[in-house]
Amino acid sequence: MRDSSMSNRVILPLCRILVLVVWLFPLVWILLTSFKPYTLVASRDPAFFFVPSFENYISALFEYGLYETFLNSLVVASSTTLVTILVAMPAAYAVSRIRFKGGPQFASWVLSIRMLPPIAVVIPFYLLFQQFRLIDSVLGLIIINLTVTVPFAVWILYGFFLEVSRDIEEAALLDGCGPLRILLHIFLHVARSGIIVTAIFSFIFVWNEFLFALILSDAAAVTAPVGISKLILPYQVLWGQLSAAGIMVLIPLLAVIGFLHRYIVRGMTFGAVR
Amino acid sequence: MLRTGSRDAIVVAFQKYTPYFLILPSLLILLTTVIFPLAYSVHKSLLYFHLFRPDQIRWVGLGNYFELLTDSAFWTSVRLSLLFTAVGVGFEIVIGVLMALLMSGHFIGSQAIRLALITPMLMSPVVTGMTWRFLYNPDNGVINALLGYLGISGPQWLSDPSTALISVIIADVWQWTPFVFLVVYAGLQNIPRDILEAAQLDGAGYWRSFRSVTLPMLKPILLVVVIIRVIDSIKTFDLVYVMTWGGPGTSTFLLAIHNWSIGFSGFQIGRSAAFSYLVLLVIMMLTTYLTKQMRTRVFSSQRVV
Repeated sequence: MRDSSMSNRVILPLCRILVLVVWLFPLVWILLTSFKPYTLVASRDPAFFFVPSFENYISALFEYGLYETFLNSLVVASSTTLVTILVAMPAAYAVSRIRFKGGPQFASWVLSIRMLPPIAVVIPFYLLFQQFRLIDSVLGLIIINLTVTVPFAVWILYGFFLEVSRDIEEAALLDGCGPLRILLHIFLHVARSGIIVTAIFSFIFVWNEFLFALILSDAAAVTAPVGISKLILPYQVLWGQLSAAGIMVLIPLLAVIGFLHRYIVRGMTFGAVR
Repeated sequence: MLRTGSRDAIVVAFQKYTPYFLILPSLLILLTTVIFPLAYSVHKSLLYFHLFRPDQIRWVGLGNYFELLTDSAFWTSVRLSLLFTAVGVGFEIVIGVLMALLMSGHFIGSQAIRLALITPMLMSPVVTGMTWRFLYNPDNGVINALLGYLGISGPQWLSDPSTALISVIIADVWQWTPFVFLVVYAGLQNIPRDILEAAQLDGAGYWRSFRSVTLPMLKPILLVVVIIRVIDSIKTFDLVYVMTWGGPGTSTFLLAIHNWSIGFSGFQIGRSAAFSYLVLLVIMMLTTYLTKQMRTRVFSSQRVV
């Protein structure tokens, strides 16, 4: 497609590096800031070279309670993701394989759910949770996050399951395999990358979720994004701790993506965007 | 031993009832977690419902809706959100596609670079908002400091009503362009080589073959990406909450933060619910319009969801 002329061997890589540097600059800046001692963080002239210190990290984690918020986020995100996959897989299987009323419209219906502003969902749940004393609880957060992740997961898995060839399935059915076993043994394996992609997206969504956690948590079930927002004090912003917290919140997701990236690429090319 | 006939019957029965059995847990969750808030909030949208004045709850029918539709503040938010989405998503698509083209192919570090570029979309919008707020800071923000080294006096970004919205848009574009990049990049991998090579053999240059071969094949994917981004963009809340809270003045008073202010500053639950459904209407109209616009230009037999 492209010949390796001078312009392509020099200009292209140069462009790539330029785009990379410019685009990642904000992140790099926050990373640098997170290691700056307090006096440098708020200084007028930006400091690029300095002696790094961990004080922001320690302060954020232990002085401003972010340690607990990370634990909460982990519990809420993992549990929600697990339940989402367990619940969405059978549903996606049913909708993709067995024809019943409203099958083809299913995808549009799921998309419509996504169109509703989350605030419309929060208020009813708040009032409901008040009855059941689920305010400020991890379980409550899991429940409300499921309203977003389950439809989305069913939609994505539906697209993937459509791609699974029917021959294997029919062979298994003839051998006396019940649909549940088919699901477990065949789909889990063939659509593996799709399932992983769905799990990753669900996890990322819940990990970064803010509105639900803001309203439905108070002290005990505070998640990381809300904890971070609390570093914005009435007359001051704790930029140092904020930078450290921002980096810490990002690391787990980077790790997840880093380890599972080949599933993502395979997953997206396999038909995620259907 | 079951005879073949009965066995078939069982299989058939299984196939008939299993779908319902399988989707039962999912359906239960969807029912309680989706239908319930939906029904509840629709009902509340037809009431005057102030959270701390329970004695004044009364039926107003479509009153909330009429009040909002005749409120100029509502239309200001609609206008701002539409502007925010149009500009933001527009840039995201264009830059995302260009980025995908630039980064496609195999070269040293291509995988690492692509992974790195995806990072912004992994961030919580709260962190993104604070990051950019830090960069934009008039006193010690690095953007104005760097501009100062070049002799340029930087704008006040978030503090100036005339630049606040574009500042928020920049942060939003920064965060979500990688998403477009990711999806388009994956789509580019799916384009069969032979067609591109045939075009090249016929003498088509890079941009010509992009316009005539690659772009049409990307259209279904672009449609999905645009729809997803438009929906999410209209719902933008976290970013604005953390960056400007709708200000200065009302220059960034987008729909979601306006709704919040009605529901949690004014405690008008009924009005907030009505507001949500008006926003839903806006989103539905937008997506229908966009789908029609983009579908009429796709001549492929692919079924687009």
